[in-house]
Amino acid sequence: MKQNISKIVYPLEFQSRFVVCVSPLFIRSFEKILEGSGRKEHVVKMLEQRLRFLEERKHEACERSQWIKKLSWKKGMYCLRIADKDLNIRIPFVFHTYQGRTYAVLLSAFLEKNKASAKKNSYAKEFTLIEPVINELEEVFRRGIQTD
Amino acid sequence: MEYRLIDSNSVLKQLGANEVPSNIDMFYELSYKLSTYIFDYRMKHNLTQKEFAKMLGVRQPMVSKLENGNYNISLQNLCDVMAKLNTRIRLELEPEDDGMGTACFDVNAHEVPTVTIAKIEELGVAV
Repeated sequence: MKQNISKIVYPLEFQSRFVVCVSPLFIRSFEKILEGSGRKEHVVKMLEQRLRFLEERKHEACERSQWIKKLSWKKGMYCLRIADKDLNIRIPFVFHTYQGRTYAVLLSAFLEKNKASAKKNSYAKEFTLIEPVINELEEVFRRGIQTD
Repeated sequence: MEYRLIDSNSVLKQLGANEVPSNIDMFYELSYKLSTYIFDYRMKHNLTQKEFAKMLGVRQPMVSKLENGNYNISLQNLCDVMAKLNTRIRLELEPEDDGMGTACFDVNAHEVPTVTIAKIEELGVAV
């Protein structure tokens, strides 16, 4: 079997125990962005960087405001930020404690528009989608966390 | 709709992160280390991007790019920045295995191959 040494020198995987994603909402929305980006491989690697950082630093990762933004107008809500060329990707997430353990729960992904009015609308539209998920997170956690 | 939770590594696999060509994979791994090192250094010394840029003798947008994790900095500029941080870069290279148990570019066939990573070592503080 051909061995790709770059996968050994630069391992893709990191310990994944803290960050979880809501399926299918997050995956579908991020796939849609990837398909339209024209830079799928780069964007997915930038996502990996941020997830790795969040996994390694946990709550302290939020100090890196270029990658993670605390939303002042929505209590307890954060956004992962990916800026690549003309793309401004936002990934809203919350910290949720289930059975004494805290997780970062990625909810969805969307593109932030450049104009202030469009930005406001894009956030508002997104939060109508994710609010019901936040409200039923306890139930979602009860269903368990799927791994490969 | 019934929602479920998936761990982040499984999601990255679903999104194709493990199918990225190794040149791009390596670029983002190195960028992660570099950008996180720069960010940590700045935080450790309690500097804004603007103050840090002044210390390095560059403009603030350059620091922002360095911390973003996808900036293709030139080798010379990287060395300039690290020298100002009293930091030494150690780069170790290994030839890729050709699948037959030998390296494609076999410079040290008699030696046991070692797995190495790019390492950035902070030697001191010069703020």
